[in-house]
This record gives sequence, structure tokens and C-alpha cells, in this order.
Amino acid sequence: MPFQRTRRFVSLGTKLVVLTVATLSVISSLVYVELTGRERESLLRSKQIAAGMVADLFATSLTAPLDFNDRDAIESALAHLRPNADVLYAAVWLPDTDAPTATLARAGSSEGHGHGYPAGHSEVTDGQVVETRDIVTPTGKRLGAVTLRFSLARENAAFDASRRSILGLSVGVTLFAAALITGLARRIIVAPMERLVAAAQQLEAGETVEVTASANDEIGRMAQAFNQMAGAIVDREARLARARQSLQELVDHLRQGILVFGAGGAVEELSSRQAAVILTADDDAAASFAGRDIRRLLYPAALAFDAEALAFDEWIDAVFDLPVDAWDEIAALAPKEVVVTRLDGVTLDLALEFRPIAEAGRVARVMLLVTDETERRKLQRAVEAHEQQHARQLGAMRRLMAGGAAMFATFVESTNERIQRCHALTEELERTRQVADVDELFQQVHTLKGEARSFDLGELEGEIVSAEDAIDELRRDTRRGDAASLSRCLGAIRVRLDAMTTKVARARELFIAASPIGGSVLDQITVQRAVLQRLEALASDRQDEIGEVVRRLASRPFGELTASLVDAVASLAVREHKALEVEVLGKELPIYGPHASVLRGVLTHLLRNTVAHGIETSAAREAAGKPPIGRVLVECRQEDDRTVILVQDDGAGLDVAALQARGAALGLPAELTATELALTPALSTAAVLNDLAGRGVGLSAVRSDLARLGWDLEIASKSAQGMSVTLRSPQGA
Amino acid sequence: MMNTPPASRGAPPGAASGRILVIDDSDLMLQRIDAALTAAGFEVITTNQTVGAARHLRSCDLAIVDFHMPGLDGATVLKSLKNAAASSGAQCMFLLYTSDETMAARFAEHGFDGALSQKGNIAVLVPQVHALLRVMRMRALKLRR
Repeated sequence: MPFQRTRRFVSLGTKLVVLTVATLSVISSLVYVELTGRERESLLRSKQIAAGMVADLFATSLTAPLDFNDRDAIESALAHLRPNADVLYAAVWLPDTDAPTATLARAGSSEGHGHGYPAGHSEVTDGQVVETRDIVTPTGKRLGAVTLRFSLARENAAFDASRRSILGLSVGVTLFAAALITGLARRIIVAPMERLVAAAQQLEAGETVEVTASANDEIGRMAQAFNQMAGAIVDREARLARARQSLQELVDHLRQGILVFGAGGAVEELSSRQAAVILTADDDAAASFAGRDIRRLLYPAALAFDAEALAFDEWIDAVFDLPVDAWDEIAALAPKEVVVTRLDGVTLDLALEFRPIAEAGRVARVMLLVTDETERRKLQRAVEAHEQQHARQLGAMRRLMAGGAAMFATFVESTNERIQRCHALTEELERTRQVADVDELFQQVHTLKGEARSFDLGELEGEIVSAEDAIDELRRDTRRGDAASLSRCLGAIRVRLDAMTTKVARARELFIAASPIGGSVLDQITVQRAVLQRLEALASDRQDEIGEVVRRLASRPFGELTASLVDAVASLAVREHKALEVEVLGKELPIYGPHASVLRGVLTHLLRNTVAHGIETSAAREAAGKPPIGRVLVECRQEDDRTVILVQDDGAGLDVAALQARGAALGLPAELTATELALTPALSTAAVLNDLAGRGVGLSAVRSDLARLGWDLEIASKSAQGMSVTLRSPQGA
Repeated sequence: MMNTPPASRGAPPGAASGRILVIDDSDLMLQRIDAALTAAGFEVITTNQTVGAARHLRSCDLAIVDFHMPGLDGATVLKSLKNAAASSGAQCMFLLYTSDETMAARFAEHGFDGALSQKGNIAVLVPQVHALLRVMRMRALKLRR
């Protein structure tokens, strides 16, 4: 833009006055000069005529005296001139003489005669009129000449007076004319113009205005044109407002909230009422979005770091000015949902959709459609929870029908025992702060979690997970020796333990409610269990027949151990995207009670291992020429007086190369076989850390658990064909 | 969402769209992260040991690393992982996972490519992971242009 100097405002009125006065001044000066010139001319002419007449008379009166050379008469004629105040000087000449023969000079007049004999003429010089006459007889004889000088003082005075009055008059006329013209101009031009200016300003401010135009001239037409223009503007604005209104109504009636933003994320004026309802809970707030930053609207939390906000910032930076063809690619990288906590504290699940608004083939603005999904998600979660609960109840029913009531009773009882043990451990910890106690506490809770999970007791599991977190913290505190924090942690753990007790009781009630058998049977079984356990504790050491009977009574059927496992394996397989069938044989065979819980843990571990690492995916199996569905056999059989449990799969077998590589890395003897390596504690531990993290203990740990009960563990593996693990009880168990 | 086909309703956005390695010394934390990310459709590999972790990097899009592991210097661990990733040609983005927001904001100073904040609040983990995957793809897109 070129530099433009702002010019000082000078009113049209002022300009008119200045112009008028200047013009009139020039005109009146011209008039003045003309008038005074004429006045002077006429005065002089009159004087000359009068002087001529006096000179003629004087010359005539001297004819006879000169003819007769009568000096007295000449003097007398001169004396006659004396009363005439205008005559300053008179002289009478004889023919062809150098000096006048008689003169009359008025005092004060310095005028002399030094020009010699005058020639007959009339002239005006130096404020005087000079008249010269030759005196000639009627016969033509020259007698002499006369010279008369008349004063112009009176004429000059008259002229001065007249000049003054002309000046006064012309100034007066000028001023009057200027005032008249200015006044008229003001009335006819300036005032209407000012009204127009004021009206234009009103129009600009959005008011409806009309200028009254009475005169039928240019100004009147200008006012009319202005009125037409103002009408057109108002009309157009009204149409725009109507269009905007209908657009707004359209937008407001959409279910989605709409916001439009430009480069840099600045929100534009058009936004829907629904957007305001969603983002502020106030349907009048839509206008207040204009100019705000879309990034802060969607991610208002003032976190020092927010990965989501960061990603959105980068997206905003990338999206503008892109060719519209590239939109789909970039739109896929926009957030699709966001959780916003509104200023009123309400947290919302919002679904987001972005649409490009293109200009010249490039993204100039972006429209955001916001849908409040909070209710739907809540409903969805409720439905899911309900479905899960329903499935759980069905599962509970199924297990109950399958004779799982006894198992559930065992679970309830052992859980309560474990919770008691945990309470005891927390008290112990308060005193001793032994890391070993923390480990046992963790182990107890961890086992509880696995059991709760196998019974699909989500609420209980939730409490246990919280307790685990608290124990994790406790472990750190014990290491650091922070007594205050330690005791706070123990407090938290106790609260969780109490909550767990409540949840167990509730689970039992639920179980009874869902069971066709009813609480009394469960009570009965539970009572029998307790009695049996007591009996077993009293008599299990006996090697006689009573001991034998008691051990037999305290035995659990193998099927009871595997019932929950089969379900767990199935859901694990789904999670790992694998297909397999589990077959359990020998369900009816008795397992000695105290061994049952350990064996359940061992079987859990082995089966999970099989699913995670043994069985391949269907595609890999088909590629290897195997049936797509993996097969796992869990068999319990009696061999002589030993119980043998076999877990066999047709999966990939042990990863020999990996085991040997790890063995070598750890410096183990090279002659160890893969199975031996798998059972080596150090390597097994490494394997846990690398591949089975969070999935339990390694094979060597399994073997040592079994060894405590007198059980053997044996592994047979054939690469690409499968693996079997055989567990053998001690004799007589 | 009117335009969404019914099949994708309720499915988490961008489900099953990435493979993530998680390195943390807490088994519990690993389990919780694993559960959350698996449920969101990611493939998850967890480990509490850095030895042997590098071999997973090649196949992973993101590596979530705990900076404060007992007995280990986070910076050294990260450096060796990044070296391993670079030598195997892995296009893996290393993320700091911390409850310390100030530290998260300064992820670059510690050598990370991004950060996840509010560690422990598992509910906000998945959206953050999605966001960072988007950032990663966005940068790849910019490079391609």
C-alpha cells in the first residue's frame, strides 16, 4: 500500500468562505479602481470646463485693455480674479515677450512664469489646471496672451471623500455578499452533506437511517442515492442475516456439534449450538468459541506433557494448505475420540470427525463434527458388564452342575485362609519388615488372583490387583526402609484384604443364588470339607488302614482340578489367536487333597505354556502339514501304585536352538540336552524373564514345587512334533 | 456417527494396528500394560529384562521403556537399545513412560522419541499410545512428501 499522508480536515464551509471572500475581494477591487478612475476623470473634466470658461472670459475682458495698452484696466481685470480662490496664478503677456506684463500670484503659490511666452493650450499638471489663451482682435491682430493656473485642492478633497465612500461601499457589499453566499452554501450544501456523513456513520454502526432530501438539486439527488444505497445495504444485510440464521438453524439441529477452524486452529464464528451444549453445557455459548484455539478446546487440561495434545498439535500443523487429494491420508491420523473433562467437572467421551473445507484445491479450513458418545459408551459398557455378568453366572451354573460346588467351597475356604494368612503377614511385617514376608504376601495374593480369575470373580480380582499395587509399593518401601510409608502401605493392604473378604462372601451368596442346589448343600459340602480336612490333619500320618481311608476321603477327583483349567485355556487360546482342543482323560481318578492345589498350579502353568509357546497358529500348522486345530491331551492314569499325569501337545516342541544359545550365553556345559537346559534354574529364569514374563514360574520352579511333594517331572520333546510332560506321584499317592 | 459402518461400531479406533515392546522392571506394571494394550488390539511383548529385548525391536512400532529400573542406568539402556534398533534397521519409536510430567515433557533430553505420561493411570495409556502412533505416521508421511 502506498504511503498516504492524512490531510487535515478542513470544512467545506470554511473553504467556501475563503473562496467567496477572495473572489469578491478581487471583483470589488476591480470595481473600486474603475469607479474611482471615472470619478477623478469627471471631476477633472468639470474643472477644465470651468477653468476654460474663466480663461475665455478673462481673455475677452483683456482684449480692449491690451488693444489700448491700458495698464490700469489690465491690473483691474487681474484684481477681478482675486476673489476666485481657485485661481492660484494669472499672468498677462504682451505679444512675443519673455516675461508677463502683469501677474497675479496668490500667497503661498510658488508658481512662477519662467517658461517664456506661452503657447495657447490647456493642460493639467501637478494638481493644477493651466489654461492659456491667445488674445486676438476680431480683425486678427495678436494682442498678447494670458495664463491662468487653477488649484485642484477642492476637487482632490471631493475625490478623496468620494473614494472613501466607494471603498466603504465595496467592502460592505463584499462582506454582505460573502455572508450571504456562505450562509446559503451552508444551508444548501454543507448542512445536508453533514447530515449525509452522520447518516453514513449511523449506517456503518448498523442502524437503519434515511436522509430527508427536500431540494431538487445535486445534493437532493445525492441524498436520494444515499437513501437507495442504505436501503439496499439494509436489505442485503437482512438477507444475509436470514441466510445465516437458516444455516445456523440447520447446523443447530444436527446431532453433532460443529466447529470450523482455520490455519493455526483458530475457531471461526460459525459453530453450532450443539457444540456449545457438548463442550460447555451452555447452549448460548456458541458465539464465545470464535477466536478460541481448537487445540485448547479439545485438550483443555493444563498438563506439562500430554501425548494426545502433542499429536493433535502436529496434526494441525500438517493439515492446512495440503492438497485436498491428500486429505484421506492425513484425516486417518486425526484423533477419532477424546475424553474431555469440562469446566463443570463432567467427563465426556467425544467422537471426532474432521472434514476439509477447500479453497483452490487446498485445505483452507477444517470442519469438526463432535458427537457426545458418553451415554452410548456408558450404555455399551453396562451392556458388556451385564453380558459378562450373565456369562459368569452361566459359567458358575455350569461349573456347579458339573459338580464344581465342592470346588467352589474349597476355593471359598482356601481364599479365606489365605486372607487370614495375609493379615498375619501384615502384622508380622509391621514388626520385622522382612523382605521374605513381603515375598510371601505377594505370592499369596498372586495365587488368590489366579484362583479368583479361574472363577471369573472380576470384582474380587479387581481388589486383588489393587492389593498387588500396594504390595509393589510396599516392596519398594521395605527396600528403602521408609517406616511411615511402609505402615501406610500396610494399612492400604489391610483395607484391600477386608474388601476381599467381603467380595468372597458376596461371591458365595451369588453362587448360591445362581445354583439350583441351594445354600444348604453348599454348607453341607463345606462342612464336610472342613471336617475332612480336620480328619486328614489328625490322621494323615497314620500308615494303617485308617490313614489310608482318610487320605482316600481327602482326595479330589482329577476332573475337579482340570475343570476350570479347560475354560481358562480356551479363553487364553482366543487371546493368542490360536485354535486348540483340550481332552481330559481320567477325570474320576482321585488326587490326594494336599497335592491337588499344587497340581492345579502346575497344570495351569503347563497348559499356559502350551498355548503360548507350544501350539502354533493355524496358518503355521497348516504350513507344517498338521491339522489346523492343535490338540492337547491331559491324562491322569494309575500305574501300579503311582498316579501319572501326562500333558501332551502336538505343537512345535522345545526351541532347541534358542535354549542352546542361551545355555551357551550363560556359560552352561555344552553337553546338556535341550530338556535338561529347559529345567536348569538359571536358564529357566532367563526364559521367564524373556518370554514368559507375567505368566508364572519357569519349568525348574514347577519341578521344585513338585519335588517337595515327592513328584517327578519328565519332559519329552520332538521338534515340530510336540512335547509331553509327565508327572509321577510318589508311591502310594 | 452416521457414516461409520456398523461393523466398526464399538471397536477401538485403530484396533490391532501396532506391535509394542514394553520394558519395565515391575511385573505388575507389565501385566497391567499388557492387558490394556492387548484389549485395545495391539500386539504386546513385555519383558522386565533388557538382555535379549533388542531382538524384538525389529518387529515393533513402539518401545515403551521404564527409565528408572533398579540397578540400571536408563540412559545407557536406552542408548544400547537404540543402537541395536539402528543396526537392525528397525523403525521403532522409543517412548518414555513416567508419572513425572516434567520429565515426560523433556523426553528428548533423555534421548526418547516421545513420552507417555501419567504412569499408573492405565485408563489414559491407550489413547496416548494411539496419539503417538499417529505422530509417528504423520512424520513418516511428511518424510515421504
